[in-house]
Amino acid sequence: MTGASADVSRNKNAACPLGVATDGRFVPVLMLTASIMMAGGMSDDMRGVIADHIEPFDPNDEQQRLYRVAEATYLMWMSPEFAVQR
Amino acid sequence: MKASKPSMIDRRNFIRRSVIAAVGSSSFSALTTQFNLAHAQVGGADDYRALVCVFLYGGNDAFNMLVPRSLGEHTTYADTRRSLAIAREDLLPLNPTNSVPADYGLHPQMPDLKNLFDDGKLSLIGNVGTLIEPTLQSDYVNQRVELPPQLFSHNDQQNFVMSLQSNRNRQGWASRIADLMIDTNTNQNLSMNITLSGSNTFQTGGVQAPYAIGAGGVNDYWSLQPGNTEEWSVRRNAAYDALLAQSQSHLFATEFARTQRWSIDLGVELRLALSAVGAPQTAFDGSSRLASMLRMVSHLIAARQQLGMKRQIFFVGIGDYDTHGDQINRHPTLMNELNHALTSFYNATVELGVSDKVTTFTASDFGRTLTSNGDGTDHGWGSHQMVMGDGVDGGKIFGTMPELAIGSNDDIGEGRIIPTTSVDQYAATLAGWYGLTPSQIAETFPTLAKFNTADLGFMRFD
Repeated sequence: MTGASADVSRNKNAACPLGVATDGRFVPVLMLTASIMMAGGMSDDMRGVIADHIEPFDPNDEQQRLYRVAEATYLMWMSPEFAVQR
Repeated sequence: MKASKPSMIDRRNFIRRSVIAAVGSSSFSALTTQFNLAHAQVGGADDYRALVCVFLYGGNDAFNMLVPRSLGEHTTYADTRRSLAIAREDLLPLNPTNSVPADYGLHPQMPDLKNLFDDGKLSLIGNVGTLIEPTLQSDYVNQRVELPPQLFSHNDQQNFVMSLQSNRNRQGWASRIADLMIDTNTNQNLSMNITLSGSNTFQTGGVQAPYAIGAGGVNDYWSLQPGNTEEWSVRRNAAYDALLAQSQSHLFATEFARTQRWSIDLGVELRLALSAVGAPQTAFDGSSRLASMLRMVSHLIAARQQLGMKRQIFFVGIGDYDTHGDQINRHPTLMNELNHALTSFYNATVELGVSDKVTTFTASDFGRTLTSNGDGTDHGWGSHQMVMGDGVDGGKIFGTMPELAIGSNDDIGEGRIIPTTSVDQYAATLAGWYGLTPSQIAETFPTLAKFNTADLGFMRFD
């Protein structure tokens, strides 16, 4: 997680497609939430923070997968960027 | 922790520059040196003052709260109110220390407030209402005076009572007071205005938005719980902190992040301060929402030094006063709640040693019709109000009491009574005690100049 943060910081200006964190990780839940809630308009910095936060949850465990979705959705819902869009 | 607020500083300076130096009106010049004396006291070592507005949403039927007991006047009252009339022998007799034209009594459900009145801790102000200029019945009938917008309308009258402004870009008079005294409190993070009842016109529109708190304490984000040391909370808060710290490309997002940061930090600060001092021991009725809110006000006042507050204005709103129906059962319940909640709050201020520094006052949309609609009363105009605290010149009935006969010179129809004291006068008297200078009072209450008296005399300035 720490390493990922450093990568995000280094690459914060990189243009990233939906569902991909700034360090290149593919994070499907980010693709979903960014698409549904923010019409794809999520900044790279925000995507990095959320990707870091949900990374420890195991995507292969059903319960943990739910946590990933819940945490990503919650942070997006509370974010300044979403406050503008809604 | 303090967020930078460049826009606030600019606006504050603007307000300072905009202060009206003097107003050459008769009522302004009639302001006594009492206001100057009160203002001169601001800044003392133990200086603290608070105003607590208890807003009775819906329009309190104060003509059944303060009722004439003299035989003739009570007969007139009973003839007008019919089934809603309170029997003369049930009224709690008041013996005001000032001269009033008749004997009066309080609602039978208010024995504790009667005791406070008898002890000189509470006074009543007769027939207060929204006015733009003094208004007689003939003025009203012949449309010779300017009237507040949309008389008898809940929202319009609530907004007018709270702002004393007719324009749409209104600012509450508590907010205007706070703008003028913003530097009094050392803690610039916490607003001088605190609401226990959410958003309200009374406290909004100025430099500082009111801080909203619940009867149970700080309104946390349930899903964040700052201060919770469980791992999930620590991690989630860290992620949210990172989101708030990001630079935003949109102005609104920047302001949203700043406000969220401010709110969360302030919540932590308040929770610590409240925890440090503990709540007053005075008993409050936990089943009463009004009592619970006032209990939290007393707790916040207990924490005033920890919070760096010397001047505070609290707003506590309570509903169900719109008694169109079943008034005979509902209104006594409301009076009973008011009796217990206000008395407990006064006792809490005594426990805290601030009963002379905290003044509680009632306000409402309007009064109600004297006539019954068969099951209750409808929207009226003038109404009686209560002020409570050791700073009050207590045990008196101030103002001019109206005639309670249908068709009297005070009546504009169905017992809608024309106010004889304006809310501006009522508010200005409170503001003078709070510490506004005469020029600040004139600025805050511009229509005050149209009335003969700016200081109704119900506050002590010694």
